[in-house]
Amino acid sequence: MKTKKIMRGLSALFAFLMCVSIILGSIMEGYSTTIDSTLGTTSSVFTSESTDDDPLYDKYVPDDEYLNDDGTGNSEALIQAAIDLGREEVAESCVLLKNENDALPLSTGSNITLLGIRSVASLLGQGMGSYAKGPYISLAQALSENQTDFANTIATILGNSYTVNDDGTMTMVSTFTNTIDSWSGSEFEFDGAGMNVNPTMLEVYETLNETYQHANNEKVTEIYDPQEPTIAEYAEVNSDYASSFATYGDAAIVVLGRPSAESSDYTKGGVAEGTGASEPLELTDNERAVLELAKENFDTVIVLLNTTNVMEIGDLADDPEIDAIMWIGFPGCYGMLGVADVLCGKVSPSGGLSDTYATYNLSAPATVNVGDYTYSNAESVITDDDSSNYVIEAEGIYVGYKYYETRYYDSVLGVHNADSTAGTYASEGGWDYEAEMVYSFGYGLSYTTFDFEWDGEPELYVSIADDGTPTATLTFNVKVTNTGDVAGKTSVQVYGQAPYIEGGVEKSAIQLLEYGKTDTLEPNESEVVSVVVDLQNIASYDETYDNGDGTTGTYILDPGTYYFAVGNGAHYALNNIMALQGYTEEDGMVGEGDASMAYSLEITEDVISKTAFSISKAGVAISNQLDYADWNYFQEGEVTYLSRSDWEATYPVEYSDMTLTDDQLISYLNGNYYTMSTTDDTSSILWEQDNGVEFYQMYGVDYDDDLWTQLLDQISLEEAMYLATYGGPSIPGIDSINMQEAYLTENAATGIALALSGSKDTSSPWAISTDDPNSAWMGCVFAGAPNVASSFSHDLQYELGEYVGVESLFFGIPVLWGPGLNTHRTAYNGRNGEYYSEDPILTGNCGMEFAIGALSNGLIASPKHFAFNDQETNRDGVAPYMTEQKAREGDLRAFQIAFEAFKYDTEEEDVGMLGVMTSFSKIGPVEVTCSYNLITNILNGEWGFKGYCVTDIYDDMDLYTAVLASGVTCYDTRGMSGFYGSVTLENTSYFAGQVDGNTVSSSLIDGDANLQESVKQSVHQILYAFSQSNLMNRYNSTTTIEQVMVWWRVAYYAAIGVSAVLMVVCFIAYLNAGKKKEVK
Amino acid sequence: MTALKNRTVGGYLQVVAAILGIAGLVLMIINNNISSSYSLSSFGLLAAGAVLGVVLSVVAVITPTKLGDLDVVSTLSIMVTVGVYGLIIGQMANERILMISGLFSWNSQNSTAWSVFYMMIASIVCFAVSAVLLIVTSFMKTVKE
Repeated sequence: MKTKKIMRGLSALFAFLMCVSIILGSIMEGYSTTIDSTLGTTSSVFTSESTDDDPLYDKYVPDDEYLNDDGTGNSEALIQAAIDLGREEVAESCVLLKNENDALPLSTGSNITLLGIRSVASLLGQGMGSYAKGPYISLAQALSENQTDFANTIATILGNSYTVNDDGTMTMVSTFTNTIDSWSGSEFEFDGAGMNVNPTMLEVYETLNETYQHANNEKVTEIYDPQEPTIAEYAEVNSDYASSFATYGDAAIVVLGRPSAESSDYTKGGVAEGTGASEPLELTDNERAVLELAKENFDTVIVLLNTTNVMEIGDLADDPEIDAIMWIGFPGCYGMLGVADVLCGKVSPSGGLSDTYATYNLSAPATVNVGDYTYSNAESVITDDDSSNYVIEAEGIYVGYKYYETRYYDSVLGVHNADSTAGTYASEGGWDYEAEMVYSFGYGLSYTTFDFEWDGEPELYVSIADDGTPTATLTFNVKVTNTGDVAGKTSVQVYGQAPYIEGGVEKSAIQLLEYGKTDTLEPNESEVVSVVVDLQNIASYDETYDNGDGTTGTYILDPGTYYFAVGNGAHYALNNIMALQGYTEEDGMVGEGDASMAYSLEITEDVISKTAFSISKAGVAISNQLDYADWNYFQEGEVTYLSRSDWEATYPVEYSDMTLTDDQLISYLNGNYYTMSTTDDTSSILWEQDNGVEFYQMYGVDYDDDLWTQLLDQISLEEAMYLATYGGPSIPGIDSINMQEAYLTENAATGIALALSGSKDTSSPWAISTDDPNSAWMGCVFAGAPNVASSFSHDLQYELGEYVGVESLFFGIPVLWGPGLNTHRTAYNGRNGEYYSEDPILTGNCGMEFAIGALSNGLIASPKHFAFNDQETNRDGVAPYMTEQKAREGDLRAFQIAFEAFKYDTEEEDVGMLGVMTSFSKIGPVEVTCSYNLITNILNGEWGFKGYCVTDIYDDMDLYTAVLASGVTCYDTRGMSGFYGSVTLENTSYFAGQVDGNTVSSSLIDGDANLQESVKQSVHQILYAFSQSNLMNRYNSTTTIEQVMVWWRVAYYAAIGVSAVLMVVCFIAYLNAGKKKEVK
Repeated sequence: MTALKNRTVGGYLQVVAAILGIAGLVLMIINNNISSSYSLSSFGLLAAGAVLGVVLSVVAVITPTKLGDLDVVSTLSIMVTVGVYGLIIGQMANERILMISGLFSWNSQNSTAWSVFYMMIASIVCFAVSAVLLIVTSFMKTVKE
């Protein structure tokens, strides 16, 4: 009896274990690539045979400097190059905002004291999104050491956990952890700044940080507290700390910072009680106490702004005891070397602000409508989970400097009620530019001085192709002379002003058009910098223009006088234009203007047609596509957008309680975009043809080549649906063309977010093995996007892309989900650290250079988030309402510049980008992912995009009835792999709930010709993009993929087998025990 | 009621296991219906499995009173039930893995997903405890002789 009971129990136990093992095994296969990345295993490998006739790894090869003599990868050289580039990147992007009393540069050998907890726990990257990971060089090390201490200096990240209080409430506890476990690889020598850093204060902050737990990558919280320790706490660590100031008293460097991260924003008034601040980007009492400590004890006080969100520092700028202020952004793992280079004068600063520093961030009209808004009747009319939130972008085109400088211009001219009290914060009485502004966009100082002069007349080039495609450029040759005493670089920022017609299309009084940068100029040395302005960038989008063909809206160049100028930022460029127009300080100008650095050009119909830019560079006629972005399109007259025709009457009000009444508006919000057909004749759409074409043959084949038709016809509809569904990181294989499932995409643009040992192409000759001492090194080490932008250097922006392309060869990743090309609508956007700038021209150029640089090494950079990801709050489907002009001249202009890559086009080749990621958000009430007008008409049509277009992570799972019909090519399905087996169309839970009630299956679109064509188009675009990438390095006629018996696979096989056998054995024993009893 | 008389502790635990199976099924249905965005793609199969498990666990409660303790029918019922519950637990977790990874990273603000997560945990706990109780009771006598 006892035996029978035991055997019965064991039978049940092993039955349970067997079933659990089976399901676990299935799960593990479904997430095998994720497990591989986490555990460092390789569960599948490409196996191909390279021959002279059919070679592998010959299409994209890392430069010799990254390879050993035998062609294997040299990890040390790769890291050294990253250190050098990271240093250069930040040295060129530091923005010197104030430098009184020759405070900077500091002399070599100076004895300095670092103050503020951010001097030790500096922000290097974002708390989520663009991290800085792995070993790094701290500010103190960069200033005082000559060799890395990577083993003891590993970047940290902040994680949140919750504890339950006695009263049942929960308290968030933040703790930092290392971004990699440890470092036992190489250490590197560098030439530091040669200063002596006060060790007492370093120790004080390191000790305090054991409590404060500040990390190098931190998150933004809705109620933010920078948690700067009090001065009293210094004494608790070391009562004699102040005595160290005398020895290290040459200067105090105070570091102040604010984090940036994906998924949450700073909120208006969202600052912790007791901090003494009323806004999260304002300095707190404790931060001010640190500044006071510095001022009391040091003759020279330098402030470093370790932030990518604009902090409110107006009083520091005016404080005579603060000698210098320098913005350093998020410098990444090695950028502190660049900061030290600037502090000690090895490099003269040459960066310009990529965002406007206003006295109060809330003085920007965009901040009136930012945050969490829900339709008043959402509960009764909205059925879609992610459609209840909105934001009215009532500021129109007036974002950042375009607001402040345009209002300034109008106030000097005394027009349009510019000096009314509407929108005033710092002004006493009417709106006062000088009070409201601290440092304008593009501004930055140097240790030397430069003279600028035109080198000849600007050269106008206008050409209209037979199909109407316009090319119109204005080339400015600017002679720059270093008139100071030290060597230095400077940017040449070219701005423009289009003629504003009262009551006409909105126009900013000044806008950046293009930029260039000198090489390092020795004193008295000159260089002529050529800056080619694409005049398309000064065209305005007129939504009301009658195109005469039944359509409305296009880009126009109003005839009139156009002004251009160079200047140290937007404000000084505008002043130069105003000087040319005859205005002086007596008229109310803030600062001087130099008319000689401005240029006017009469544009009439015979120079350039008013509608020259109504045809895109791809030869497509442009008309309104996003009229549904405007709230007034549905419910007329309910929203007033800011217009410079009357600053007072149109200054935004907060739209916090909008009610949905229009049926079409509600229908869009509920996701009703497409009705699937089940009865179409699809016989003309060919699938499963026997054309004998394989994927490896497509390398370099033109998009329109007939070979693509043959290849696409060879694929089955089911295979096409798999490819159009699972967009990565793991991409399904296609047996019919011998394409293999593989892990192909990754995140971030600060480098690739993988460890060297985690290469997804372990067969490549340069793959770094797990035995390599540097195999733990991670690729995401560079500075944040605003740093890249503030360098105003095309060359540097390209070099970064080029280097990340090299990383991609080492990591075996042909597609990068980045960089971020959304513009900074407000300073409160938590994710500003991942986006370049408030200005679309600067943003677009940064993205273009990065992407084209990356593509030189076969890496497809896929900018995100296309488009209108203007805030993180309610980002899962928030509906931003705006005018089409704002959409076209804001976010879209940034993407357009990058996608058209006009600079790199030649007569032989139309260079463009091959990837993009869409936004979670809507455009107006329509999901971006479902907007045919945005994706097909604008992106694919007007801009001629042909490539991989992936959604954001698991976004809009209304799979075939909306998204693919819009022109999006696939979904971000991070985590999934093992397609056709563990993961199928039918069992992917994310696709279970379709709006129209359909169930997703391989036969879902059998009767819809349009969707079949859409899927075929998606496959064409995806495969075309891949065929131009470094994925083709590993493909030839012999390519197959083999499963490897990794330990976790062995483990679950064994668990299933053993538990099955034991279950059977025990059950037989149970039966036998029963029989024995009966016999007995 | 006869089936509930003359039961040992193990027998009563089997009844609790059956009730927990029913609770797990109900919670799974609720979980599936919180939001159309988070419905379970294999819900039909999961629900059928859960119903089968509940029925068999009830069978395991009843048959010993008729066929005697440690009978083959109840043994097989328990083996199938715990196996099915194991599969259900795994499949539910499988369908929610991506959602869970999002909640603890990029999607932490998604209150709907958190509701789904908590309901899923509750359902899984019911099935898991039910399976454990069935396994434990299979080592025990369930009816008094």
